Amino acid sequence: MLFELHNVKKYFRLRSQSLLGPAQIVKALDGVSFSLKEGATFSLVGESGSGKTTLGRLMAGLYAANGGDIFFNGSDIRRLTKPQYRDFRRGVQMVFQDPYSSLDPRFTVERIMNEAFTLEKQVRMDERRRRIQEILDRVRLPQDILLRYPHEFSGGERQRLAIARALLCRPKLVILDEAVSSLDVLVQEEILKLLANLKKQFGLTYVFISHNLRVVAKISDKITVMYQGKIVETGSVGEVVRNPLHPYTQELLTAAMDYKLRHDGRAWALPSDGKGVDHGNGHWAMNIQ
Amino acid sequence: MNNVPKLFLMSFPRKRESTVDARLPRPVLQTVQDGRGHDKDKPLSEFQLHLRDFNKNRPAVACVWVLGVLYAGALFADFIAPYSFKDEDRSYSYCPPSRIQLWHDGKISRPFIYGTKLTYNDLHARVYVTDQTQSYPIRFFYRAESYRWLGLIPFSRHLFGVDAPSRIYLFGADARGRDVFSRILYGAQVSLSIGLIGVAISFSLGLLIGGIAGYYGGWLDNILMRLCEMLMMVPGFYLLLALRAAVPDNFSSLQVYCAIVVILSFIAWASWARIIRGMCLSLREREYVLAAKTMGVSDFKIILVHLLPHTFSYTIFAVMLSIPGYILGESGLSLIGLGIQDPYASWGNMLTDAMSIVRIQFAPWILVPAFFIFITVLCFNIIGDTLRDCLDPMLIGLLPTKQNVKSSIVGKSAGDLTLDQKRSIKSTENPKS
Amino acid sequence: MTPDLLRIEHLSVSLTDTPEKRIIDDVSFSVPPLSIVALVGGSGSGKTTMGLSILRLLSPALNIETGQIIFKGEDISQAGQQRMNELRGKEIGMVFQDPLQALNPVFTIGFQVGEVLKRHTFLNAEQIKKRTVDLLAQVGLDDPARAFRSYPHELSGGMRQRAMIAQAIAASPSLLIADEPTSSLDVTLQAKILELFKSLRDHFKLSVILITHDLGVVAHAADHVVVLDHGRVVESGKVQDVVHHPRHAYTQQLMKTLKV
Repeated sequence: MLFELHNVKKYFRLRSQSLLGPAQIVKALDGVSFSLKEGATFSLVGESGSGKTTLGRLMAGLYAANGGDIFFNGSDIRRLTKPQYRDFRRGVQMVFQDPYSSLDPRFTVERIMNEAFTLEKQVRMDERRRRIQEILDRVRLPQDILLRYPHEFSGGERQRLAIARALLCRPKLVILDEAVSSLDVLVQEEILKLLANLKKQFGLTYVFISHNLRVVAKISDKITVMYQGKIVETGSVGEVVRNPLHPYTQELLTAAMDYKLRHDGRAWALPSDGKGVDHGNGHWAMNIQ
Repeated sequence: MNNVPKLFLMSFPRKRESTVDARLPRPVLQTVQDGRGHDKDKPLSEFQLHLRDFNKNRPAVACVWVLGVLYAGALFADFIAPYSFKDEDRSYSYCPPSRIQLWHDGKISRPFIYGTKLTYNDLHARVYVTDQTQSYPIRFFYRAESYRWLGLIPFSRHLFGVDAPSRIYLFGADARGRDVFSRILYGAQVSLSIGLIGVAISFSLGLLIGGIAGYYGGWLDNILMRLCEMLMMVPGFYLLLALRAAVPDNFSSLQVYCAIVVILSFIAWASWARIIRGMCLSLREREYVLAAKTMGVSDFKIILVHLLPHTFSYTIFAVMLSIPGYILGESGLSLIGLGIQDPYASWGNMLTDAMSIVRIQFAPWILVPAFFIFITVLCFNIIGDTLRDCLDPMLIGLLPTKQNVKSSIVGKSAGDLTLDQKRSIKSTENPKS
Repeated sequence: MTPDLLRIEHLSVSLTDTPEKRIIDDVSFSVPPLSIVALVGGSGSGKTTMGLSILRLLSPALNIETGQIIFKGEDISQAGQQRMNELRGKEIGMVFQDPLQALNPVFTIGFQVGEVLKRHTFLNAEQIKKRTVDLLAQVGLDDPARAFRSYPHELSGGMRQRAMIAQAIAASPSLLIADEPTSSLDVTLQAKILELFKSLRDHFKLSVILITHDLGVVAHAADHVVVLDHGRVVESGKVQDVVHHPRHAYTQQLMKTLKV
């Protein structure tokens, strides 16, 4: 198992409205259990506020969980030794949504790429240069861009740069947080094709976070649907798309495919115990309240 | 430093336009000769690229040279100045600037000055009469009063001088007959350095503390900001008086002043820290900071290379504007007896002499220090403006890319635009469409 | 046959400094009344510039070189600023992509919508408030009174977008230009906003120019579609025709992205 999450909880505290009153707590993740096998493409689907971004960032080590356990390659990420920490950081990389803010506008491309070697300081300059050249080749960007600034590129090219930077660390898992959502449809296609190629070439595992089931259905093997901080349905792509069990999944599907709403977009109450029904073939859906 | 000759040449106006067509790509390579005499394209380092962009702005380069001359003057003040800053001669009080004569009896001769004598007219006003019978040649590398350069190397040659009893006053003399030119040079030592030292200390502290408070947030932010507020609460004037009293008596005037400036800058950092902290609070949520975290970059490094450089557009201007603030503040301090005292010279100090309109009327040369302050402030401002433009990545790389690169890399419709066009379009168009 | 509400004829927009570089190159299309016309294209196709040039909101670096923009029989491509100010808001409204940037963060929603009414109608303050609350309810905000008092950042993304639409239609324009209105929203919100546009067309009696890069949006919401590529029209027609039988290679590429 590459990644295992057991009953993970993450809360954010908002500033309290009154001076002495209790602070408002936003339950971004409310008991999420999740496991990842190497080699597949997993998708986390949900709308804003469902907790999918929080889950992705938690897996990347950017947030600390408030409850539950998280294991990467068998080790608890809260108690990592120094070499384990290094492996974790290099093993899990992230590509962010906004290609305009995931690359520091003051950095040249060369500096951006070199940042990926922070945990491998012993790698020499010529080796670094070779690896950078190789990765630029793989993402199909020309070699002479090293001294250019990010804003000189278009959105799709910047995403390629972000992907190249993530791959320089030779990760096992790449978390793509809405990586194509802000691109044009044609550019989206290109990037998705590129991602599929890179997955084959490097033997990667992807966690693809998105709110658009249409895009997700094209590239993933397994879909996990999140709603209000909990997982409401999970299963293989074919199963879930053909036979969505939870009404929220049905809502997302019709919205993505037909641009219509099946249940008029109403809110659903989730059972607090999080119980659901397993329908075989790995297809699980939470009970409706 | 093989850029020095280039810098020197580039600061003079050139007649022909640059050969680099504005529509061509921003060249990032430099053709060099390798060992066998073949041309090779060597990529320029980032620093060299910034330097080259800076050099394109000729006013800024000119300002660098002007400041360089001033700082060189301050550094070599002992050598360049014909007299010491306290060398007075009351018989030359308020003597007008010496006219350097180049013609004698219709022929060009080596530069000399005529003797001047102080007389009084009927209204008991001072009038200086030139005595054309006495001529004193200006001697160069003149051996005069000895000094120790930088306090270490004993020397006794000055750049120029005249024989006694005449005195050469390039910028005239002040009330006690001291040479204004020499005092300008000695004053530069104090005025030019104090601004830099004070700003260096206060900004380093401000950036560091503001960056740390903004990045970590939470209780650390709280504590640091309350500390800043406590420091800002202290009223400046009373603090100065208290500090003056606290400094030991046996300090020389110069040492007292340095101590006060250092102490003041330790308090001035508070207001910068608050502003920097505000900027960092919003910057730390940017995705490139998160990306750096996933690559294992340490917190301190993130603050240093990702957060603080984005505050530069504010910081550089604030630095450039506060350096003259120190110079001018110093003159205020001298007024209340806390700054550099007589006989030591500083530009602000010299200006207190010029506070009377009567004196300015008949001895206008005592305003020369104001001119130097003005020039210094102007140069710092122009350099600061250009620096900010050079370091702003949005304004640098906007020249279009090479024509021979695949069209996919050309930024679509904006591929052939010049800087101004792109800047004006960006203001209305959404970058995503 | 009812005359077209808006007709673009051979419009070319280029850079002021280099007129050879055209952002929009000889574009012609028309917008009939009570219809949704979609302008589709990738980035750099000039679709946003098209929307801005109808309202003459282009930056000084761009200018309309040739062509005519005929709105209700009047050519507004050369009209003066005063005439344009009368048209903007009252006859033609615009909705922008990012409501957080398009709405002023220091004023309440009620104030911003009321501003439009104050400028274009003769209602007094009381009537403006009532009309604003009505408008907010009509665009689908659940608690219009609360939205009236809220600031833009206090509302969710979908509500902000609706508030912006309310602001655009406040003075009852006959044409609404929507520049990528759903790009920053989730899928379910996207569906709702498209429903809203359709109801605006039916109940508010206005035409909508929908600028988007997503052909799926077009297929499910628009009546007519104009496909732009690098500033030129490559295909146009009724949605059913173009979507089911795309002729140009670019349109066919776009249609391929819809297949799952």
